[in-house]
Amino acid sequence: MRDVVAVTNLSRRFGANAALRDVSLTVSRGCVFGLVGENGAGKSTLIKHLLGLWRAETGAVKVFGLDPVSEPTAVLARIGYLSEQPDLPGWMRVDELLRYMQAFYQRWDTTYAEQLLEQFGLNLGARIKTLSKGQHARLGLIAAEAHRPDLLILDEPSSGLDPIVRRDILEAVIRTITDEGRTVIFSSHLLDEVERVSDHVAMLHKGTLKLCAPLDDIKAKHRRMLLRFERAQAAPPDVPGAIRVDGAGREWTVICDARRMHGAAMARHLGASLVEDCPASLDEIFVAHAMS
Amino acid sequence: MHSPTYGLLWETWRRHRDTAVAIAGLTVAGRLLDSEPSSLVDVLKMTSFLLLFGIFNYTDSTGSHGVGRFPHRLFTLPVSSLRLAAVPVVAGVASVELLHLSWTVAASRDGSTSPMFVAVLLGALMVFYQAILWTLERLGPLRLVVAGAVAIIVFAIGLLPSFAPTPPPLWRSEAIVAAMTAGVAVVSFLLSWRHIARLRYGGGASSAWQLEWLIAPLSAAMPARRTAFGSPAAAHFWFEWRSSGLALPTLVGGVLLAIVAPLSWFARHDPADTWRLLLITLGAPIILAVPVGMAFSKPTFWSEDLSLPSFVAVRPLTADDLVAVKVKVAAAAVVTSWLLVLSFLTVWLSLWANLGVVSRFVSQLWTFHGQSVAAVCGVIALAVMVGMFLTWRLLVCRLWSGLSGNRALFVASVLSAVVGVIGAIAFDETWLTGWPFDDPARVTRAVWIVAMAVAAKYLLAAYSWRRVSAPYLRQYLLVWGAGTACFLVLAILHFSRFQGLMILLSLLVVPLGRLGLAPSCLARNRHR
Repeated sequence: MRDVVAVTNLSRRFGANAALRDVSLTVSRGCVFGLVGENGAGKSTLIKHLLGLWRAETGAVKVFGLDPVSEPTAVLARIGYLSEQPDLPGWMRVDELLRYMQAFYQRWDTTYAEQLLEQFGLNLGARIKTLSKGQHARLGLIAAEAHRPDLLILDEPSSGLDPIVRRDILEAVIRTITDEGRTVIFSSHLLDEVERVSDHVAMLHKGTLKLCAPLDDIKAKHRRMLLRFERAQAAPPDVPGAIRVDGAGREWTVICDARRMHGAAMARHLGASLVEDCPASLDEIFVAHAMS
Repeated sequence: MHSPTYGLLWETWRRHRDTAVAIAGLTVAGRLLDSEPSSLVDVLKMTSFLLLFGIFNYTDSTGSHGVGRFPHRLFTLPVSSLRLAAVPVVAGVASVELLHLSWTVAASRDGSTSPMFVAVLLGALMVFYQAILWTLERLGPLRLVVAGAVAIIVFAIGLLPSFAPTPPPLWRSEAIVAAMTAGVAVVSFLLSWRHIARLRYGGGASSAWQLEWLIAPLSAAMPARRTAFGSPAAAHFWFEWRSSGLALPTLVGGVLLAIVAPLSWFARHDPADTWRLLLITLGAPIILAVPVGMAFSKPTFWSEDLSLPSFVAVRPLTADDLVAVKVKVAAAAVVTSWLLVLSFLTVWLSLWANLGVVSRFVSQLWTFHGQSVAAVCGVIALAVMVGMFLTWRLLVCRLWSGLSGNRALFVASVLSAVVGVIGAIAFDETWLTGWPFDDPARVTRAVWIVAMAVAAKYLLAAYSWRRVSAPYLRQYLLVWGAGTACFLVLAILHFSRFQGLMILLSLLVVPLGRLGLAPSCLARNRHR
């Protein structure tokens, strides 16, 4: 089976708010799937559906071809999960946590766990409640990764962490994909991180899937153009095919679909000069789609 | 709102105004019912004071912990540390005095203790309570146990002037005891203030107490898991035992050590007191299982949040497995608690108890059961088994509502227990003795009602257990059968009259249908 995750027409409402609207996507085996979106976009809600913590109101969720709600043990035994919120029990010691986790996963690799512990400089006898936020995240990462899961889900793992811990997390993603056949779903609003490690990106905005494609395709599809007008423009110029037009006075930036627009021709048509025409960054693409 | 003091007071009021209204309601109801003293009025009074202490805990909780710490968010306000500490203390003391004043007539009418003395003790208790919650942050939820122990000590101090000889010597007079208690309360407040000031400027609990040298080796010496678990269920059993299973044995042990043991020593010459203490000791696990069971039935023991924590929810265990582990942890907690009780009884009764009344009771049993020592031993063993099953029942009977994650359902379930407890306290047992003899048809009606309840229980059981895996069903039927058999044998042996009614009631005690609902309720909570 090629697809590890298959989400079909998934919708979810919390009261009057729609957290997910008709979301459909697939995650292929062996890929690093970046899930991006602003706070409240629906990333964590989607991840909770994949873990079976939320039941699909409409639509269907399949992980490894199974429904995570009706067959939680078969699905969860193959998933490593690092939560957005620190959720490890504070009263446990580090070694107790690792022994506890080991009991649930047949493929738990003690040598690998010890190697990571040493790398992260964690004290086996320390109580979890005495760990710093970064140490807590690192321990959560060991607990999620040491059983070499088929699917590693990291929900906003870098949120509020320093660059060194963020580097450790990204290295964990890279380590995971070096083992053939393992898959990573990585949610974040730190787009530079997603851009560094993901080969496939899905962009959620207010519960709607705006984009879902290979990262290279997304970047090839979007361009950023800087237009300069001879006279200041009171209102944004009407650029056909633009996703977002932003600026003031004489200079305006246009994020557009490269397949639908030729920069120089468009500038001539508007009576402006084309100062810059380059691929848009993921950050710019995200803002353009979110604000459009 | 121009004054910081007013702002701090307003915040307390805004957070707890519903509770304040409830306290007012209880007080009014208590005063209206106060035409003659009754247990119900005492219960209302006690509840109103407990709620008031709940308001003035003045801590912030993170949601995963039931008891939080002094609100650190206040440290950025342009207010002195003295005022931060003093406002809740003064407001708490003033409120408790006001509430005491509202109840004073009822409290002092038949008591020998003066209302002024009680007022001083209550004010001091409020200061001690807040000091414990704020300064012993490292103890976590155990602070409530410490606060409970301090409340018992203050209660015992209140009894000091009433001990013989009368009038008491000067050092035990109300004025001197009140002055000393108030002095200790002032010292407690000063320590709290100092602690808050240190916290505010970067000092932590450890720097305030300077006990790290003692705590670190003690903590290292505490038993820790050193070997691998045999199965996921064994690992989760250990997790549940450490999170919630230890609560009942700890409380039972604490009650035996802090209350029953000293009282048994003081009452060692009085056979009637010994008998009363024996009943209290045997009842302790059952009584404590009522509040512990309410917390135990939630997904997280010390948390107000009823949703299943993601740390547990993402473990590859079925809802059946998770409930089975809870049920087994409850059984382990009950066995440990009763072992503590039986060990204590063995030591106490053999070393320093006056066994006059106890011996009379045993000889009556001996006569009743055909002068057979084996029968007496059997009946005592059966009674202990019944006590254990009753304790276990109180721990697990609310699992279905607690694990459901549905707050309304859980609150309704807890309220039904609270109403039951209040009803039991306020119940006039003399009514029960006359009730079946006044009109024999009443017993027939009662038998029919209980029979219908039994039928409903088995119908619910058939419905609720249909989706639970067969091995768990077989295991639980064995446990249920053993428990029900204990109650049945006791009913048959000791109730020659109304035996049919008692047999039917025995079939109702050990939960069956509701426990079968727990896995599906937990699954709904886990997969929302």
